[in-house]
Amino acid sequence: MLATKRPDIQIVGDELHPLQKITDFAPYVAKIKASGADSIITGNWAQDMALLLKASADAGLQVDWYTYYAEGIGSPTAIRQTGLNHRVFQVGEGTANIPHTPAQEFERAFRAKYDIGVAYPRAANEMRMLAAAIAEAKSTEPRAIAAKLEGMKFEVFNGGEGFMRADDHQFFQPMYIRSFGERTATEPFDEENTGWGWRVVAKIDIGDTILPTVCKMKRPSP
Amino acid sequence: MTGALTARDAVAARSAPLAAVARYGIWIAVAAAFAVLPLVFRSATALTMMSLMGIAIVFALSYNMLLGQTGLLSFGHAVYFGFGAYFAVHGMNAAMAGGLPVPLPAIPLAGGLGGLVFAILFGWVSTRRSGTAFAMISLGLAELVGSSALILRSFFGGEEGVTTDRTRLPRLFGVSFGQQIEVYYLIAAWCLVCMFLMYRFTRTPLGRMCNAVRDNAERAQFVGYDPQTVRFLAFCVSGFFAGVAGGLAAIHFEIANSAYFNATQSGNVLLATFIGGSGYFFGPVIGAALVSYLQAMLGDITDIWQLYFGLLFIAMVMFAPQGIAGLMMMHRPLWRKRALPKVAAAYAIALPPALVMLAGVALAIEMSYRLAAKAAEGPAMTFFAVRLSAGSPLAWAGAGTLAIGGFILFRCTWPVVAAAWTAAAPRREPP
Amino acid sequence: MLELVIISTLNGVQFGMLLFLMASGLTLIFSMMGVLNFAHAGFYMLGAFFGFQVSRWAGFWPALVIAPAVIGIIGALVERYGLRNVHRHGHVPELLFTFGLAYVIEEVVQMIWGKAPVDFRVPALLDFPAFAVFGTNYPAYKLFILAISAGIFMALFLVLTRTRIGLVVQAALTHPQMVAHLGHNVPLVFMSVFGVGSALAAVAGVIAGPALVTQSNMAGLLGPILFVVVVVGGLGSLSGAFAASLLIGLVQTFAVSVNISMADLFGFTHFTPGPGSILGDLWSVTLAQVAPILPYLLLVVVLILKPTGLWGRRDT
Repeated sequence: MLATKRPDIQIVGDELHPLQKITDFAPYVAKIKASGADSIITGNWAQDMALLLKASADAGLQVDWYTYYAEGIGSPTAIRQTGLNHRVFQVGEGTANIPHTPAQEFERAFRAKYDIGVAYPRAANEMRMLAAAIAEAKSTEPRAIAAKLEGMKFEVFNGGEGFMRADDHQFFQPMYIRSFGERTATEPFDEENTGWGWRVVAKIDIGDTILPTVCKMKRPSP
Repeated sequence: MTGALTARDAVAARSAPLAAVARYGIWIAVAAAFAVLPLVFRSATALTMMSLMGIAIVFALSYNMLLGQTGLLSFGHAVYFGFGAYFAVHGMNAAMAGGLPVPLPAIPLAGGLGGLVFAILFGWVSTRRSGTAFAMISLGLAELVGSSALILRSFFGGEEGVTTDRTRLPRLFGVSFGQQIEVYYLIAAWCLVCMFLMYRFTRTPLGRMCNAVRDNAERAQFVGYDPQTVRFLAFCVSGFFAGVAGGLAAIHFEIANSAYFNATQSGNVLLATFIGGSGYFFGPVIGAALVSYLQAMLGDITDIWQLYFGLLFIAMVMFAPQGIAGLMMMHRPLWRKRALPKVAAAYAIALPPALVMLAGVALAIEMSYRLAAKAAEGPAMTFFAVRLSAGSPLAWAGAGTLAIGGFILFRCTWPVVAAAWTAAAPRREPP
Repeated sequence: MLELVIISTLNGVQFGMLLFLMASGLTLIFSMMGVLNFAHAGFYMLGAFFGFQVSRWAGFWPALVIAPAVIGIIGALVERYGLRNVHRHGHVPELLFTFGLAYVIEEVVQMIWGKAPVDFRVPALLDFPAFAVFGTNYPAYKLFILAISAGIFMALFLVLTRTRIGLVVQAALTHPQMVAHLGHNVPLVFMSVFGVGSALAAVAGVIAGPALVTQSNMAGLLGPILFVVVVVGGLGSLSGAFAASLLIGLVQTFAVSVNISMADLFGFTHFTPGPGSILGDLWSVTLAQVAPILPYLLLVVVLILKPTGLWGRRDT
């Protein structure tokens, strides 16, 4: 798909390393440098993410980072330590600095109580959808709840509407790409007391996130 | 002469059923207990916990074959547990795909086979050494296998693992094993069979030679047995039963993933076996049941139950390395001489100060935890239904008094207990 | 090619020296007392967290002195009141005691500092790139780590071989009773050795903390590789541990740069196992992917072939 949609992008390297085992990422950074890449897509999380970023900052690597898990606990601190200002991007279901008032109020109260941010709005979405399904089905029996969750349209935590596709139970909602760095007036929240925060750089509308499915789900007989 | 023979035969014939009951009575009792337990503890939590205990018992007993019986300390026993789980899951998926008439109760055998194959493979290299070298090899192998599990994704399923569905195999007597109670009875039956087999193993000549190799390998060599072969065979049998435990776990959780190879799994079984007592056969049974229970239930009482767990372990290593079973068996001569009540009375006197001391220490720990980790939620807390503030000096003074005062009183009761013991067992009986 | 070799050598030496810094204390304790101290990684973690806390109050350089001193005293107390009592029960309970201690240390650290990583920063004095090789920067802090590791190695080596105390310690390794008969306080020697070993672990923690992630799971993540270093290097041998750390650092670093798999090596045989099978996986896995587990392979091979370790003088 990449070749047809973006023929100007070329993949110059592909690494899989053992999970949470590596202390020294310098050899990997050397490989990245040797390949001449200008952007890196990574699924690293927690310690792997922090050490990889530190190693690349130590070596003076100037690339953009496209990540899935840079919001995980500890990673914002690591990004701040490396000084990579708005070069680390992440794709996710929402962030505190989206201007949606109910979400931001929730965020404020949550931080006051627990001293950490709402890193995963999906948790709030899941619990709220479950509660809504139980209320609608007027029962806690799994089959009844599942029947109500299928095809349910729901307003998600950061605003906007999502729905669950009945064919494969995949939930779709607007997605956001954000970058981590110095804040402006439109970004009231920082992460992990670093002073830096997430800035939304792109919003992916729900229509653009939907891919076809071939799932033929086996359902329990009623 | 014929008369004497007939009389002896008659005596033998009359006491044969009694002898059988005496020999197998304990097993019948255990089987009956396993059968009756779900009727006493009916809740879903209890059923799940009893299933987990069954799995842990088989695993811990297999581990004690190495630790207690052959003197081999292994830090990587979870490797065979994990391989058992993977073989069981792949076996189930293959049977379903191929339409083979394999009922679910036979699947733990596939797990045992997996454990056995890799025990043969790895045991051949591990058992060439003993002592610390063996422990280090087991550690290295555990790390190797754990890391490889994420690299070789076709067999191990990568980070998601391999899932299965235990209800889709051919049904035996119409039982689909979808319900937890059915899984419990499957696990209980396998647990009983494995316990029996492992106990019989300790009574075989090979089992006895394992003990001999543990006690004095050089002497065993002089008697004519190669210690390395004995260790290797013990390792293989132990790996088989660890694989059976893994298979049971795979059936229970319907998934096998790289977490089965974890250092946590290896550490847990070591803890359970040691706390229960590695010197007696039933020690790991107690340890596994206790550790499973504590791990599930203690988390409800306090957030830092793992700290208490670690402290309990250290206390046992320092003061009671023979484990709970060892402590119990220490009282056996008293039980025989019916002198237990005297000592029990002394224990009853020593218990309250000990509890007071422990309460003081626990209070101090809980208050530190409240102040350090949960500062955001404020210092108010409840300790055994007593409301107090973690920051108040009065509460700290109270904790200190309880701990120190309790210790002093406890110390005073030690001579009482010692006197009771001397009175109860004045003569040292020959072993 | 030359660029790759030079950069990999520099990285490998750096990593190896970090490993030696962490393993130096463990070698001392293992060689002296035959106790495989599972809690060593725990002391390393305590050192990192203590260092972090002190650096918050007083700065990095006082932390470098205070934290190891405190941890050294804690280590000595652990030996005096814990390990010595367990010693009479045998080797296995000793091992288990340190195992339980490691567990408790991790829980205490989690209790006090939480489960999230803490913001332990490199001191401002050292936070700059020292030099550049082929366009890759080498931070001054990494050179600092290198210098400290080498310094510790030299200091330990000189103390153990050239001073009187060192000779007593070495003698107590093999002939504790004789040394006691000669009038030396052997229990005090053991206690000090354990204390010094723990202090060394704490120094490693304070120094490595800013370079790596200071988090309550850091002991569990680094523990196994330390054992590999000590066992492969050999018991009773400080130079062995030094050489083994460098070996492991270089092997692991060079392996990452090698993207060769069995398929590449043996492709001429036209043997292509199916991609979804185990053989397929083994055939196509590259050396780079297995690089981090090569030390454990080395551990197993060394233990099977030469259980005294590559440079060791004493059997396990």
